Amino acid sequence: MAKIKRKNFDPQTHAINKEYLYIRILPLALQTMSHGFRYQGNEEQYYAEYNRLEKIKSSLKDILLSGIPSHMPSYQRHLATKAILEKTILDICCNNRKEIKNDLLNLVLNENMAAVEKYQIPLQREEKMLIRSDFDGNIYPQENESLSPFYKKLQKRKNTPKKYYPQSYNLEEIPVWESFAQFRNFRKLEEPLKEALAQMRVPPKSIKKLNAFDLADIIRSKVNYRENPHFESSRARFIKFFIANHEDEYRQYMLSNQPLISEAFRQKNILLPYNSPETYVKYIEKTVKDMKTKGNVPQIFTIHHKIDVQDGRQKKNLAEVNNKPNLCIILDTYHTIIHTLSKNYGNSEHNFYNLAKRIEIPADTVFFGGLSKEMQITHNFAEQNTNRLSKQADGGRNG
Amino acid sequence: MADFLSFLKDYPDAVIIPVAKKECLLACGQELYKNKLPMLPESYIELLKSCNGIICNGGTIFGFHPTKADDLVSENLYAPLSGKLCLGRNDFDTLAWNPQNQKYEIIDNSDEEVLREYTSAELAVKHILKIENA
Repeated sequence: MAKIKRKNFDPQTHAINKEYLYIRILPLALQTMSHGFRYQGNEEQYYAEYNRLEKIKSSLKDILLSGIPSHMPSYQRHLATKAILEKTILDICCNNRKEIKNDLLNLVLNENMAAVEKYQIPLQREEKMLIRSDFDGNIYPQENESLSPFYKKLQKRKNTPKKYYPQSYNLEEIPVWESFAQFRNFRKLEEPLKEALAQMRVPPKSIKKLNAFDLADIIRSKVNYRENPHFESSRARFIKFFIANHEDEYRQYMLSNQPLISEAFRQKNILLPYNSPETYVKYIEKTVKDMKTKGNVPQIFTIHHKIDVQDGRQKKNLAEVNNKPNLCIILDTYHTIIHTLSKNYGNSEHNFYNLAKRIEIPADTVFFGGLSKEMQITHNFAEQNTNRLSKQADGGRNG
Repeated sequence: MADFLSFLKDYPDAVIIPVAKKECLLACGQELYKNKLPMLPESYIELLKSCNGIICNGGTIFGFHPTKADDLVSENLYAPLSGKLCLGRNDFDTLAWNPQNQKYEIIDNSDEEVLREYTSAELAVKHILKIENA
């Protein structure tokens, strides 16, 4: 009898197949979790989905365990994955909505993500405004109710007050400037802001009466902040950084995962921007170009904050929330899952902070294309910092 | 709203989901009613007559997609806002309709604080999609 040659187990191929399985099951799990298996007025769709899930269930063993020797440590993990997915499919079909959340949690924990409980001190409204502006690269119009009485009176002034010079102003006298100055984008605006205050003829001794929203309104209306100096969106800056450092890995991911990418587009109701293997390659090149020039990612991805924005006080300063080590490009489905499984419990007994549960992805991840680590791209920020510091030190020594 | 959608057609990387059939709008209303959710405001219905959702700048305006992502009814059922109807979302905020005060609200995703209010659907949609100059 001829010996049957076992295929060598290839982790990359295994991960690709497994992730395609996830992208077909998990969005349906999320939907069912919310309100049950939907089929209103569309029984055909219901039975089509049901049959699809049955086929997926029967293929789980082949996809997840085939080719893996049972003595390998990963075998147990993939066996657990199989069990969790079988249960998830069963819970979807039986409408066990509460159970599905546990299934999703077990799945992410099985893939070495962490569920962490932490204390969270809520952010002030001004802080939220700063983080958003910095992230988006845009200072939005402020509501009239947010502006201070002093600033509103300033705007209605009819007489022409005394002239002042930019050097008359010390922004540190404005209490909220300390928060602004944490962000590189706003620090760059220090001199233009002083010029704007001089132009508006704000008495230097009165600037301490300005609140954060007043300052934002002044920057928005009086400073050419988008161009001079360039107020860059930290979202776009991160995306450009990612593609500058990991272009080849990104391209490899996209080329290897066309079925997954197509399924993600289908689930977002977006007509596929390609219709053949050749046009798919052209599409990938277009996405690379958009990432480099515009700082945009394809619509099936979004940007995830690893330490959540609302947990921003965990960082040494608020601006770190939008810094590159804290950001990650992520497939939208997984972003939804992470936030669905995260929870704010409400006030602790101290009434100063909230208890919260978060699902955290590994700190060095910059691209989360799937739950498997083969689908993720990491960046060694520590090494980059070490190199930068030693270059600075060398620069000092060499004068 | 028509001008805004024309503007969006040429906006880089904006995706306008094609308009759904009239029966879908009716089905959406029925689903909202059946699930005891607030009904859609007229101005939003006008939007849905021209498109079935928008994706732009990391923000999404929901449409009616019973078995897919970014579905109005699904989004309201798995992340409900008490007494309000969630119509869209971006990295930080949710766009909601408050039938009590008949206004569109921009609500912080983390703590449900109402950050802004709009009477105009177009301005609210522009806020969530981070488009100012349209």
